[in-house]
Amino acid sequence: MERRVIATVLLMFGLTSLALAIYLNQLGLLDEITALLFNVGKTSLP
Amino acid sequence: MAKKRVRKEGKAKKIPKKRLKLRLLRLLSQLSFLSLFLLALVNMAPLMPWLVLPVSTPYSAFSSFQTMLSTPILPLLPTASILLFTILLGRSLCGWVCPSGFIQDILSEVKRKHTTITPETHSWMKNIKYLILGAILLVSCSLALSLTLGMGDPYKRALGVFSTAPYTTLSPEATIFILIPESVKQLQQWMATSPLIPLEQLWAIIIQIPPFFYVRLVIAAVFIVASVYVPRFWCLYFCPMGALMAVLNGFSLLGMRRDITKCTRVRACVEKCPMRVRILDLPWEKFNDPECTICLDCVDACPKKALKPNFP
Repeated sequence: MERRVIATVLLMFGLTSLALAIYLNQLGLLDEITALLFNVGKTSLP
Repeated sequence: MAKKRVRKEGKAKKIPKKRLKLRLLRLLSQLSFLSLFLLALVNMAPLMPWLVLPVSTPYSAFSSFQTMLSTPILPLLPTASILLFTILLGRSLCGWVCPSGFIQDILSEVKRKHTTITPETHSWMKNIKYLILGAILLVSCSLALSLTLGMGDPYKRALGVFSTAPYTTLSPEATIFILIPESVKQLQQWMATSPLIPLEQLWAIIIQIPPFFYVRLVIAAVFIVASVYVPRFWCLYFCPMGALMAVLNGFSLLGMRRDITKCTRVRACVEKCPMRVRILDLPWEKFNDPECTICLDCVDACPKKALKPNFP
């Protein structure tokens, strides 16, 4: 029972985060973040 | 005698065929996500913008989480992705989506007999991933806080290569999928433009390569070799994303159920489980072990078909 309550709270938190992310247009940042991440993965050779 | 009886019953119910069915399904899922990931890596994202979504979220959610904190932007999208996915589907992302999990699954097939890690060693080693997760969260959150307060630049400079995404910088996934292909590409370009050089100069060039490059190669080598001997070695002991999902998995709506009227406790499920979940010691109605990736190998292994997924 307790687990269900915590799961529901976490789900609501997740949904609120998603709604806020869409409202703040964070989906538009994904390209930029992916590019940044790929740069982190690289180490330049001399 | 009992074992023989179970084997015979298993053969009568055609377990190998069913096993092939479920494993094939999982293999197909893992292959599809690996293809998506590789397509995004070879810069197909600008042509197919939808590619970014499954790759950035949820697979790279943890990396995006760290990157956004270092910018600093409130990581709402990765948080939503991790929470919604794990609460609804548990750690099935590790079993059915993750490309590095897929690599480990393939590598574990190389050797038929795997190395046995004692339960004592296993129980303390699986805490390493929580320590890594804690360290990453500490670095990323403190950096985000200091940058928000306007005094984070010296801290960011001091962190150096670890400032953008501390885990991704060292992760074997980034080394295998980004560093090695990029280095090979660089080497090919360099070979095309430069004439042959004497050995002494080659040695000088090798010395110039940052030591960090070799550290990353060693970590990737450990990842590959260990996965051959211990199935899902990285997921079990070192993956911080796995640790984060393991914490949330306890509250997941998707779990497993063991039918006690069918279960004969032959331990086939426990022996088959790549994540070493002690299925028979868990509550039968529904269990959400932190390590369970819902790979359903236990469902295949059970000769009595006593295990099945349970939602919600």
